[in-house]
Amino acid sequence: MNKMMKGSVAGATGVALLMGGFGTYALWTDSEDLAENHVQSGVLTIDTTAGVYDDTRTGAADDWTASDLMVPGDVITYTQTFTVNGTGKNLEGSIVLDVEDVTGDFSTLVRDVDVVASGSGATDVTKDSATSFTFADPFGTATLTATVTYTLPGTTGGVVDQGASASTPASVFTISQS
Amino acid sequence: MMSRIPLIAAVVGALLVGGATTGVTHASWTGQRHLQAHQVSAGSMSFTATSPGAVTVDKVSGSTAETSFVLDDTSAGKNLQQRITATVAGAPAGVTATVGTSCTTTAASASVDTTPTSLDQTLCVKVASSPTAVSGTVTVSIAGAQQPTGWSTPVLTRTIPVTVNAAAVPAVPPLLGCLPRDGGNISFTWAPETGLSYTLYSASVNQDANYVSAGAVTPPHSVAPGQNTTTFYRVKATNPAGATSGFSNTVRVLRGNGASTITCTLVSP
Repeated sequence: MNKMMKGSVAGATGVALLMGGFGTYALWTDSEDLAENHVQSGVLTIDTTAGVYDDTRTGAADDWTASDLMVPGDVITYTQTFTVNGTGKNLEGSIVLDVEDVTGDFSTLVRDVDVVASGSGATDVTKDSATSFTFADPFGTATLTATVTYTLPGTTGGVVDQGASASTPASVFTISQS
Repeated sequence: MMSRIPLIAAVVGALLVGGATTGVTHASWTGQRHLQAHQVSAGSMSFTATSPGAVTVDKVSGSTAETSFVLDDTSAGKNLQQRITATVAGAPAGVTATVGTSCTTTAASASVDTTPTSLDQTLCVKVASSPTAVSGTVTVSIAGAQQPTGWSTPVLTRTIPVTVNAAAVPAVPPLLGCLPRDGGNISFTWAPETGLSYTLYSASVNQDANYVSAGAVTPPHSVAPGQNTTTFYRVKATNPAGATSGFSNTVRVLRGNGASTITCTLVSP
């Protein structure tokens, strides 16, 4: 081995030693966790139960059937209860009963439809008309009672409207987010 | 290269429109339930009435007859209350008709309150005759009215044939004779019949002269003849129908100058 060769080997050895010394340095470090997190959605639902008839002339409840026959002076109601739920921080929307037209051959029968809100969420549900509501905030749970009132006036005389009948087709009650 | 520009513009436009449309139809929650179909129906108000039977009365005061008819409420309706009123609408001359829920209490009209489930109701029609009654037909009008207000029914008419039998003429009342004188009075008598009234007739000329009514009398009848008079007396019987008999036989009452001369004699016929 000549001098040049020996010199190169020695140089390479020195560099290698120097490099080995760099890899064992100690450095500052720190860490934090991103906390566990989650999101959840609200609800917007509407449910109902079967409706009932009532003869307002009596003190008894739900004492009318679809086969009973009206006479002048009678005021008969059909009542159906709907339960609505609305949760979600930014929830707003409307609740609308789209009542179908009454059909039949009465000439003096008067039909009136009204929906009343009750329950814990009723205060957050604003009644805009007899059959529509709006809400600008989540309202929780409210009960909406739809009452259809049929009045055959006592002034119906002679043989007017005897044997007549009237029907209200199924009508959609919709709760919608806006 | 120039021909591709319209194509690119069309594609970009379609994408913009699509994006806009997506913005309008963004998803939102909704829920639906139905107000159930339901119905109401009306009932009706009606009734039926049977035909009352015919009656026969005599042509006298106090002659009465009764008949009846049955009312059946044939209505339908949960709260229906009907008042059915029967009114006497006509009767033959001399005949009075009344109606009632019983024959003991009748009036020009009578009403009964019924419901579709009520039992049938019977109304009595009472017919009263008179001396001037004639045969004919009693007409009763019947109508229903809902209580307190509301429907009414057409008027139903029922007729009752009435036959009036002519009253018989009373028999001639036979004078039985004279009673003993009582001072200036003397009496004569006859056998009265129940229900008949009697009228006294007198004549002062002779037995066959014209007899003049002296008013209603009852037996025995007392007379006080004047001085030196001769008076003939007869009676007639009248029944409640107004039919009057012929003259009875005759009594002759004489008086001279004193009461002791008063005599009473039964003479012919």
